[in-house]
Amino acid sequence: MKKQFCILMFILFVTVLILGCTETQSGLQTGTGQAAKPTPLTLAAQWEPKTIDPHEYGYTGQRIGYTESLTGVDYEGKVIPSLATDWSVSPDGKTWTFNLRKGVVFHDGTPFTAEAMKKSLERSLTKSKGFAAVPIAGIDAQDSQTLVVRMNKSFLLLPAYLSKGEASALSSSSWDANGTMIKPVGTGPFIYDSCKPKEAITAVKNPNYWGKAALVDKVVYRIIPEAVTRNMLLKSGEVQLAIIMPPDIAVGYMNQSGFTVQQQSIPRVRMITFNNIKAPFNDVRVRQAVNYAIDRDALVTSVLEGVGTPGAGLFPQDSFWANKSIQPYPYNLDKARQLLADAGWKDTNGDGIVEKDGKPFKVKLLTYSERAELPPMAEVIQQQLKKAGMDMEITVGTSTATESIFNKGEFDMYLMGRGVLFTPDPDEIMMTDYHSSGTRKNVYGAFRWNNSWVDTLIEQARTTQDLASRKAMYDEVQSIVVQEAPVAYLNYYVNLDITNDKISGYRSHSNEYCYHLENVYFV
Amino acid sequence: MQAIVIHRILQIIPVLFGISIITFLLVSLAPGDPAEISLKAMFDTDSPSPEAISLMRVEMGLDQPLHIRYFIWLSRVVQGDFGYSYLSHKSTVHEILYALPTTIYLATFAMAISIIVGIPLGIAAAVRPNGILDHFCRLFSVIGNATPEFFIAIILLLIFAINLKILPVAGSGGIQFFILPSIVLAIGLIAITSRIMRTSMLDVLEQNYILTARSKGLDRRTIITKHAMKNALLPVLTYMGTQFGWLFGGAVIVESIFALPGIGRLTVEAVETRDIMVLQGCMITFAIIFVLINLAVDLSYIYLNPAITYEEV
Repeated sequence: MKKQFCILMFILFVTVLILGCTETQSGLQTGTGQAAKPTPLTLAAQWEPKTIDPHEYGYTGQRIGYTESLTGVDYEGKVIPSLATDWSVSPDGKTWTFNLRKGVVFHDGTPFTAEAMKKSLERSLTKSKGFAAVPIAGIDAQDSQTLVVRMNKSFLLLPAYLSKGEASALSSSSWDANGTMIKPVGTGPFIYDSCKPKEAITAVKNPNYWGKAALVDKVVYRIIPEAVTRNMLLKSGEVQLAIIMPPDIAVGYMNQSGFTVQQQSIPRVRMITFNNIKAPFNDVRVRQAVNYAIDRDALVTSVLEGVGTPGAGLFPQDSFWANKSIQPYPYNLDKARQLLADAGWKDTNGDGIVEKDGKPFKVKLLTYSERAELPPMAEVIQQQLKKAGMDMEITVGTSTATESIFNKGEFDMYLMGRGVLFTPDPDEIMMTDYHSSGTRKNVYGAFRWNNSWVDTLIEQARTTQDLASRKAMYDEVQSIVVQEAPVAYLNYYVNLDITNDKISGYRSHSNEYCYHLENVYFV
Repeated sequence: MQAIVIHRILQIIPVLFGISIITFLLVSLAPGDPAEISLKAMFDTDSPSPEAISLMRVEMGLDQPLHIRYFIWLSRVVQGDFGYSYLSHKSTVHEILYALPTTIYLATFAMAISIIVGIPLGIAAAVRPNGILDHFCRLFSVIGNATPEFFIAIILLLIFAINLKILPVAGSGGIQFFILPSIVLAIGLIAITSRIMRTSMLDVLEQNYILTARSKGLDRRTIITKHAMKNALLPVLTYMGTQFGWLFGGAVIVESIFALPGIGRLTVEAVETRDIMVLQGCMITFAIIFVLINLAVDLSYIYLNPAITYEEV
């Protein structure tokens, strides 16, 4: 027995020894070693690509910059040329013609032609469910630089859909005979190098890039699910850029030298949807009263640590699609009380809560816990509405549970975060959330609200090819929605990216379409 | 001996069967449409298109009733096909084999640390009850047991990775990446191991044979190392056996904080994205590990205490 115990102890001793030794090794690696060898540009983000196949999961390749699509998205969220220099659509909206950029080569040296793009796109359509709603009838390579996409019906959103990473241009050497991805061979400013699942993706500079060549030789994208850990990595200097940090961590960096915090509002809005077919919110005056009774600035300062912009319309003000003339509802308690009184809600018994026909004002707000800031925001709103004489009760659940309650209409107000430009074009959100065909069905948006002029505008915009006229129609929809208040926009989500002062040139993209790392350099 | 091993391994089968039914039911009965939740995770969107949802429903077999889906899955598993991930499109076996080694290393290191620290600490506390070391040990257990893992992790990261810069913050690639995560996991374990060791040791030290050993003039050291410890280790061993399995679950938080690609993280992600075949695979893996560890514990019992016969086990 003694012998066995000795062996056990010996094994443990060796383990300790190994642990001890490697401590010094790692000390060399993370300490002085880093300065000696050239550092790759390293960033930490929470997004984990489930697969390296860009046609199945397209975000990562596009963000790092080893894949590109026919169209791109600029910092304002507008669709712009990328691998296609320009495009046009037949008057019936059924035939799209894309002129491809000349002189582009894939990372394997083969030329980027219409034939290659056709093969790549056809693979996208079979691999990604993201294009299930796109009515593509066929793709033809008219000549080496002209690609024609035929649609089953008029579809003006095609360029917006083709900006997605799942529509990336990939050389056919990317996949094997069975269509399985070997490694993505794209056209971007970086070349895909390697991937350690759930850990990191490495890409190197593409010296033959058609545009402005990258300023760093190598990029490492680290997948770090926890913000706390991204914070530690940034502090230790292991990464130069931390993507999407929570406000409580970011405020600590704001006045700290050696770091820069980038605030970028993104097309995602926190809003309240009213139950528009049920009293009291079937009355537009009551909905407006709530809008006036909410102090939007206080919400930002008290719940969001000051990081956020008060909500005016559907889109954040720096978005291309925003109606910039819309101002947020001002905080005005008198106006709120007046509107309530006009609607018949008055405080007759002096308890501070308004009544109508002897029944006190009492509504139910529903929200979910996955977005951690929503429940505390609901509590602040509760206090604010009370000042105007409105009593509000809060129910918090998981989003799947609250969604089903919402869909049954068993709520008065639903507080949620809503992404508004998932496809970089307003059509999708307008159809699902504000057109009566969408609001009549379920999930999100202006619940059971309809306005025939809004319907007409949204439908017209679907068939209007001129960008400026489309924008004008959506502007009008936005102002009608704010005026009739089937929803109350509270504030927009803000992404906080933090860089250390070793790098420069990074700019947060409003919908995280691309990190544009080709512009980033070491100082 | 052989019979008992075979018997134990056969016992896994009903356990796996039960677990697979329970996880299948839990995931299927959870609110929300699995196809929609899966697509939301895949495309990072609030509302996937209805067309995409119906495609996904067909792929996931949601157009079939629950029991049919279960039996389809079961018949595949019996043929050795554990299916694939709806998100990565890799086979379940591939996903698990990729994640498993990380967690095994993590759990083993944590266990080793807790043995190295916890057992001597427990013995030392028992030898002088209510001495300084005993008080320290008690304090350590209370704090160690009550502090959440993520908090310990942050403190250790601040000390060793940010201030001293001797260990990396996160990632994998060498043994240095496992040091902090293992310590974090081990602290809670040490807290309990040392307490159980202390209690068990105190118990043994009151036995008659210890009195005999003492009266025949043996020195204290020999009594403790040679006579008392071996017997006192038995309950600790049982405890550690179950804890080893538990460590796999406890690894979830640690794997997320230290960005380790282990099976804990895989399981949680599979739940969040309703990646049901991967989830079932993970659960079955956990069950197998649990049963095997318990088997190992039982066998080591026989070894440590020959008075226990195979039948008793």
